[in-house]
Amino acid sequence: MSGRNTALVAKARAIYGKRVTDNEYNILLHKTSVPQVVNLLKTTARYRKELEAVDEQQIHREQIELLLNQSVFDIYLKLCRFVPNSNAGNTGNRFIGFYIRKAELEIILNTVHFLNSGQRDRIIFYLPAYLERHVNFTLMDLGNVENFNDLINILRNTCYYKILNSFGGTNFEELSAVLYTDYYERLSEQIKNEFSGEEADLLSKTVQKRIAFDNLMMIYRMKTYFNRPPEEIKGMMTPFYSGLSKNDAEVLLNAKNADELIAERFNKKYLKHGDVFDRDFPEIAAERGDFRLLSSKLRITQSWAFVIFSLVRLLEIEKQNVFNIIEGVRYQMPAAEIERLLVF
Amino acid sequence: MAIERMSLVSIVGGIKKVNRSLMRCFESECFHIIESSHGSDISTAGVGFKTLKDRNPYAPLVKRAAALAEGLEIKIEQKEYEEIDFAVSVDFAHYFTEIETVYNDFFKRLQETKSMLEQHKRALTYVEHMEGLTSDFEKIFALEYIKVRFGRLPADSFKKLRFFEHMNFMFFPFEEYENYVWGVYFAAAEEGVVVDDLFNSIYFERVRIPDYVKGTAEDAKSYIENLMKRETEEIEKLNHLIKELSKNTEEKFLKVFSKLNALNTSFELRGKVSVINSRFFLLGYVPAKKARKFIDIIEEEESVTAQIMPDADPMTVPPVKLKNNRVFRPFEMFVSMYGLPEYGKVDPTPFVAVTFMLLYGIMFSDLGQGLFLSLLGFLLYKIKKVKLGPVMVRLGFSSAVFGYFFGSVFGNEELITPVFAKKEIYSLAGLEHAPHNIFEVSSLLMIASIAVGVIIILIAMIFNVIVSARSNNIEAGVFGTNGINGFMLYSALIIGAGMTFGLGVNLFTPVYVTGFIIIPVLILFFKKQLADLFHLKDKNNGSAKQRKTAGTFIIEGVMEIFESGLTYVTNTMSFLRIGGFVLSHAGLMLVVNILAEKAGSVGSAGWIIAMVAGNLFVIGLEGFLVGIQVLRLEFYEIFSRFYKSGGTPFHPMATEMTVDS
Repeated sequence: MSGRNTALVAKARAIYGKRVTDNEYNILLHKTSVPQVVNLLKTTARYRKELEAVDEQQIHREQIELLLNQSVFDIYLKLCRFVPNSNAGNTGNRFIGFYIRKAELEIILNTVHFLNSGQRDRIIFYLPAYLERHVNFTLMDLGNVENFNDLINILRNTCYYKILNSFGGTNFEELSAVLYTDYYERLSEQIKNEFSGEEADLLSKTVQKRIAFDNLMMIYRMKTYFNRPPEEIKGMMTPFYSGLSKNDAEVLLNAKNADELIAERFNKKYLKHGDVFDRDFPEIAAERGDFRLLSSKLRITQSWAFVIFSLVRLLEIEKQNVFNIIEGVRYQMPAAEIERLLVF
Repeated sequence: MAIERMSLVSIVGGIKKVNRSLMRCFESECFHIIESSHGSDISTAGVGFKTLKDRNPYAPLVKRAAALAEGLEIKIEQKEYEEIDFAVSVDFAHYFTEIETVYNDFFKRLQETKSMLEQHKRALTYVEHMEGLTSDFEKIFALEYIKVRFGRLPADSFKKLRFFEHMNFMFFPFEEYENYVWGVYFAAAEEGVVVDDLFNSIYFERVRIPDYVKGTAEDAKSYIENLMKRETEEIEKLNHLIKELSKNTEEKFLKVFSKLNALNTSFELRGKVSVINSRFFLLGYVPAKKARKFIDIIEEEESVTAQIMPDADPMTVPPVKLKNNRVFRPFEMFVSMYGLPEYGKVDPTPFVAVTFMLLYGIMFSDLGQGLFLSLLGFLLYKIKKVKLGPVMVRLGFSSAVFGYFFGSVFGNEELITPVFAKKEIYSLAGLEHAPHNIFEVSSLLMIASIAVGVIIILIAMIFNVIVSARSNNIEAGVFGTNGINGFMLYSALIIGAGMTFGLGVNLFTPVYVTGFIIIPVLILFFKKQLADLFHLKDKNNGSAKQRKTAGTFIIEGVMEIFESGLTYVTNTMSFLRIGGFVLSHAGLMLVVNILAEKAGSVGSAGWIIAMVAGNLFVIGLEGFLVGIQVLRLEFYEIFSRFYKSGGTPFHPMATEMTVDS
């Protein structure tokens, strides 16, 4: 593979080696209060440093979320230093900037969500100030946004301006689909331009699989819970069909028993032996599929791009596990119930 | 090569004597108790026997005493307890209560003081973060129309404060520390709730400044530091009092604890006692030579009788206690590590001891380092009771002997004349002059290593023949890979190869190959069938095996012969490591000498430091590695040929108590 970067690969694997262990998850599951969970997290190799200064008796659940998000981002930045000319904020329009662009998308969509729901004042509270120096717009100005036009103005010098400007209306799902389509288009283009051979193939397949999972979840949710017509759902999907063929997508969109077909597809193709598609929590199946694919390849590949891409995703899954445990413990769910939400 | 002979002893007596009898068994230190229901006469008698299952009154006391010992930092150890006249559990309880009363008082005060110290430490941390504050805390807290909140704000949230400038509050940051900004905010009393809500939503963590904090931050700091100083002194004083209490009570406490533990263990063992019609029945193994004396001790108790059971009981397996002389005894550790031999079988300890010392001596041969290793082993055993110590003493001596032979003292090859430099020795090896160093004769060394290995393997095969003969296993003893047939085959291969490649005399003539190789191989191939000729019973029982198809039989036979051949080769080659380590030792010491010479002239401080450090490094690294390699040779190349473990270790009741303690 062309993209050898031994130092980054070794560093990333060392970071992954410090992940929360199965045993630690088991202990966390049996804690009875959020402070207890935080206290235990402070003893893990993964979160010892991140939560060192935290007072578990006082810390707010949402603040933990913010800290863990920041932790993943810090790791991403740390690994970026091993890639030439890609220090923080200098990723340009390159593949390595994938995580910053994703963060930008989430901030924009979050802002739109609050504007749509009339909670403009909440925007400030959810702004991740630690990203201030890394995103391609003036992040803190979003705190003053009153409407959609203000948002577009703030994004004037970014690649999002054109999309948002030409987007009619403020429908969240549709805007999300448009932004993510653009995101994946750019990512695919970058992979094509910057990598070749096996490495490009591996990265493409990984991205396509991610899109396929997202699309499958979209079909599942929209058909099962909202009973939306196929055409409407298609508008919300990311229009890439390598991971999930156009034919398969059509069949699922028009099938009456799409939920069964999707469950079967996951059980047969994406989940490891012993895991079953849980219809109460379909997203967990998609995460498990991702986890299985990425964690096994992370151990063997020498492609730095794949390593950084997959590590960030795996850390996000781990972060989600921790959130789920905190929420579960907070609402006093039985350990077995919380465990259904975990991916490890 | 011996395993201590055991006698099965039964003890019978009135139920009231059960505790005292158990204590006597316990004190004899030679009684390995077994479930009495295992006894043949019991199992045949069957109905009516029951085991004692009453509540142990000593168990909670042991826990209580252990907790107390931990608090007083008394290290639990076994003591003689004849002078302790406590008879029942209440006596023990009273004794512990007396000590606990004093200790608990100290402990409570200590905990309280520690808790206060913790609180003050926390308060000091808060105040230290507020060193930018020059106003009086008392005055700030006295503000009537202003609400004041001290605390910390995540650095992320601090950046967002500018969005709330329109609200009536003021935030004064003192310092930024670990992603938090420490500070205070003031808000108009009537807007206090709204401002508090705002700060809550940006994760402000409020800290409560204790009401004893007065003056400026600087004043408050020095006030709290004074409090902490006093508390630290108080803690030291209380710790000292606890130490005094521990010192004054330790001797008697350990004696009381030892007696309590003995009573507790013997009571626990009541579960192994069978009872019928107010009579108890106890069964166990005692070394045969101590059986008579043991019975006398037990029968001192009125109405209790003990007797040696005439025949070995088929329902029970006697435990194994290895019996070796003082030289070989420490090597029992390695045999136990592999697994004890079955009762009545061969104890390989002497063989292990001799081969271990021999191989270790050759591989780590140095007079000075060997003696140092011995001394180290001796000290480790005397001071720390390290079980490996006595083994190190013996291995060190062996190293020293071979070091003398090779003429090496702490890596110096010139201090003494090596034995092999004598004409009669080196000429024996076919050399015309004495070699200047070991590297000159490395090929010869390797051949010698193989020769040592061959001899050891052949001896192991002889042991296998003896062991198989004892257990009437004709297949393994006569026809097997390591039996007489294997011995002949292996010898023929080695002699043939040695003569052909060493002396140029080709022994592999048709007669030799047929008689000493092909026929033994065929015997190996048909070993089961040949063995069955001698065991008609086995032949009949083996009907299931005889159902094998010809194909399976041939494949199995061929694979087995292939495996045997492979083990002959690999096991023999494995002994090359002997020569390898001799060379590596010489090489390492050569490096140490060169480094020492670079460090300074002979006798200079640099030279001495380099030599000492180098020797210590070599002793630590090589001494350890050689030990592992020899152990590997013992377990894989030697034991696998004749030894089968499966014995139960002999655990007299006294040992159980020590372990429990």
